[in-house]
Amino acid sequence: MTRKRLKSTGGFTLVEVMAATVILSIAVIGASGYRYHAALDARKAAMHSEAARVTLLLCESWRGVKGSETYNPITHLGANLTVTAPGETDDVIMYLNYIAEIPQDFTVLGRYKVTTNDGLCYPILSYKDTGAGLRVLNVAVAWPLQGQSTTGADGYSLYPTPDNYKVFKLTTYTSN
Amino acid sequence: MNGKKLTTKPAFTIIELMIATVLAIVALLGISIMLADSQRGWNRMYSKIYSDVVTDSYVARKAFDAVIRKASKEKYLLDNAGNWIEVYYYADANSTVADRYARFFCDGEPDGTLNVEHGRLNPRQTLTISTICGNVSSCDFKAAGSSAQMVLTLDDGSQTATVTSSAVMHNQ
Repeated sequence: MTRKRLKSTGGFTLVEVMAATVILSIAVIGASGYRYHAALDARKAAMHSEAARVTLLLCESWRGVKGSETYNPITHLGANLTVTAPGETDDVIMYLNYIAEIPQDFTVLGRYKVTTNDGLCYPILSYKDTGAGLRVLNVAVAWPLQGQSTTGADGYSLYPTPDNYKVFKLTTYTSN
Repeated sequence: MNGKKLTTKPAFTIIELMIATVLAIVALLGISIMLADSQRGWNRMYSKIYSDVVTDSYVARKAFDAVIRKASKEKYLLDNAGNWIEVYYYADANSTVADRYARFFCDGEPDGTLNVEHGRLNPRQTLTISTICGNVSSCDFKAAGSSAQMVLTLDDGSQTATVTSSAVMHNQ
């Protein structure tokens, strides 16, 4: 009978293999997270500048007609920019004053929905007459932090609060 | 009979080699996909910032703003179809009346150019015509009171950008 002796040849232990796997997983998850956030931030930045441009466009156009109460962005720009007046039942529209933190003493001219290159945004135009023949024009544009979607990760409507929506505001003055 | 003893030299079996090869292929494939995706994402992001369409749209907006803001609010001409707008401005600080004109117009849509023509008034004489940008797929000028707007869509076949610009004419 031949007696064979078991020889321990060089190899990795289970613990070594598991440690290597964990390290590799951490590296892969880290890289994925970095890429995800980079893409997300780029999208947020694009949406922010888009909203700023829409705000400036509305602010300057409205100021051009001296803050008239008859100014209507839908008839003025609607054909080119997809400006619409969503129904009052739209959650975002209902809460837009709250999201954009429009002061109580400002009169709201209108609330709109604009489709841009990078998503949706919701402008709200409001004004206030001061005693000295000056009119304060306030244009605030809100957009959902999740870009085009107004639906949250759970599939339900993204609850319109200042936490879920970002706002860009411009205020200008015009004399009568 | 040869009494040579067989010795087992340490070596990988074919099964070990196959498993190692498969694992290496899977890992390499994963890494390659990730690298390719990163590269694609980087290219997309880069072109979103630096592509011709985007940089041209910035230039168009700046050029439109700069001319409209120094224009006289007393008078401007706007094409009924919104294809061009003409504004008037002062040549320099010594001018007592608006003695220059600037006319923005688009040529050959789609894939046209946005141009601006500067000239002298009384007698009317063209001084320069410059092309601001190409790849114009649509361009529309509007005016509201003393402000003018431009809605410009640029398309180079791979990317589309709509740029809006509005400025109030400040001068008398």
